[in-house]
This record gives sequence, structure tokens and C-alpha cells, in this order.
Amino acid sequence: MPTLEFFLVCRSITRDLFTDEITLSGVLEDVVLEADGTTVLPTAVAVVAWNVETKEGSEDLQAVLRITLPGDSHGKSFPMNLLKGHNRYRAIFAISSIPLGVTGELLFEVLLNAERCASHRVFVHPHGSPPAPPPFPDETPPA
Amino acid sequence: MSHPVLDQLLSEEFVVEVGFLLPPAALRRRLQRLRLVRRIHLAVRLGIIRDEHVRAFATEATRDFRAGELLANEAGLAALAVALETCPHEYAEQYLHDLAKLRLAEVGTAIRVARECLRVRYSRPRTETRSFTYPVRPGRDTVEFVVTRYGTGHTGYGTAKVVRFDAAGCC
Repeated sequence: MPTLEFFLVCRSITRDLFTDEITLSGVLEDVVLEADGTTVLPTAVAVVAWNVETKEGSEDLQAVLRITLPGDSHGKSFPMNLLKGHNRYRAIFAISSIPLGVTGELLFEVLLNAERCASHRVFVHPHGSPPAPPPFPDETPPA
Repeated sequence: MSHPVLDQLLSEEFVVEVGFLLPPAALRRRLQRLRLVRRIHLAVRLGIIRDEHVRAFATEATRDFRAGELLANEAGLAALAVALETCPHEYAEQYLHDLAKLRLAEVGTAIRVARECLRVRYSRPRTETRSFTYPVRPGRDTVEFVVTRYGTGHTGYGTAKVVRFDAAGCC
């Protein structure tokens, strides 16, 4: 069975083609709805990595990202095929325009060969929360 | 025509700098540390050295090949393999494969270095990337649209609730 190395959902990712390094930025943890009670998450990038034993690498792997919106009971699936022959795999799913209209938990799950491997929860908050971070000391308006 | 930077791999100074031909794994690491090899890697990365330069270099480096005699430019061939090891280009992959699949004692060290480079190249994770657009939900999501009146160029904007969605689009 392939072993999961990591799974994370973020707002954007950069990949250096020469060093094959990836940089994740803006890890998704909280989303705040707009005044009309809806919002659209422009992009969510899910990155997942697996290690596979050499003897296991004889067949293609089927990776699936499943997204369940707050208030929904069934998620939407986004499949990807991982070609055989490697011992380490990295799958990058870029999902654009995720509509949000209900507060609650936005759930990202990753499955490998129909078996659930990991999940990442994002909390969708109503308009106006969570509170904005306090201003820097030098930005505090004079009393 | 080969690139002047690549031509330096065929110089006597470079052969002297490399020194003894070590076992493949050790030679690969030795070559990785050489300034010229790092310069070549950077030039490939910046697109200064391209496919045609690599092909011309390979032709030039093997011009003096004679069966039964060690190839004088063996270190240069191995050094280019090391420089191309992590490059994503198709020609880099082809150069490594073409060198690695040879069965010639005259360039035995370069062949083994290329095989070592390929082994390292394939030990890195395979990255698959796919982009999706989250499908709109009929009866729930709204879409924004722009209408342009034919001939006049007048445009209007609006939003509409999605009632049906199929492969051809939404309506």
C-alpha cells in the first residue's frame, strides 16, 4: 500500500522545474463569506505526495480529490491518473471557482485507488468574522 | 555548431581539472562541484544552451572515436550528462538515454555516469498536475454574463441562475 507523505490545500503554488521544488503559499484554513452571504474561492490547490514500494509500482494509480461544500452531503470528485513506474508521486490538483454560500466546513479529501488517505478542513465563516487582526503598533490611530 | 561554453568541456584544461576518472557515483559528485558544469547547467536553465548546441556538442565530442581506444572526450560527455541531470527538457532526457544505452568500452565511464544520472533523475517524485473548474450547481449557483449586440457593439452585463448544466456549457 502506498504511504501518504503529506496533503495540504493552499491558495497558490510555485514549482521550480529544474530543482523540482514546490513552494506552497497561503494555506487554506478559513474563508469568510461576503456581505451577500456568498463568495467564490478563486483557486484552491491541493498537493498530495505518496511513496510506493518498488514491488508495488506495477500498475497505474488512481488519485481522486473530493470536495464537499458546507451543507452538501455528497462531494464532487476530481480524478487523476498516476502513471506506473515511479516510487514517489506528487499530485497537484488546481480547482478554480469553488462557490460557497453556506457557513460550515469545506472538506477536501484525497483518495488513492478508492481508499481515503487524508482530509483537509477549511472553515467557512459568516460575513464579518473572524475578526480582522489588530493593527501594527505604529498604525494605531491616536486616542 | 556547439556553444562556446560547451566547447570548454572538450579542452585539455577541463580534462586536467577532472583528474582521475573515478567510479560513476563519485565522478558524478565530483563533476557536480565543478564550476564549468554549474555554468552549463545555468546556461541550459536560462535557455542559452539549447537542443541544437547539445546535439552539435555530442557530434563534436565523438568525432575522434576509434574502436579499441579510450575516447579522449569521455569526461566532457559525462560532465554534460551531470549538467543535464535535473533539466526537464526532452533533449536532456534523450541525451541521458542515448548515452546510457550505449555498450562501448571506449566511453564506459561516461555511460555509467549517465546511468547514475538517470537513476537519480527517476528517484525524484513524479509530479502530475491537473486543473479543474468547479462545476456550477443547477438551481443554486449564479453566473455572470456579458451580452454584446451584433453590429452596434453595445454591451450589457447581468447575472443569471443556472437551471441546467451539461458538457456543452450551462444555460
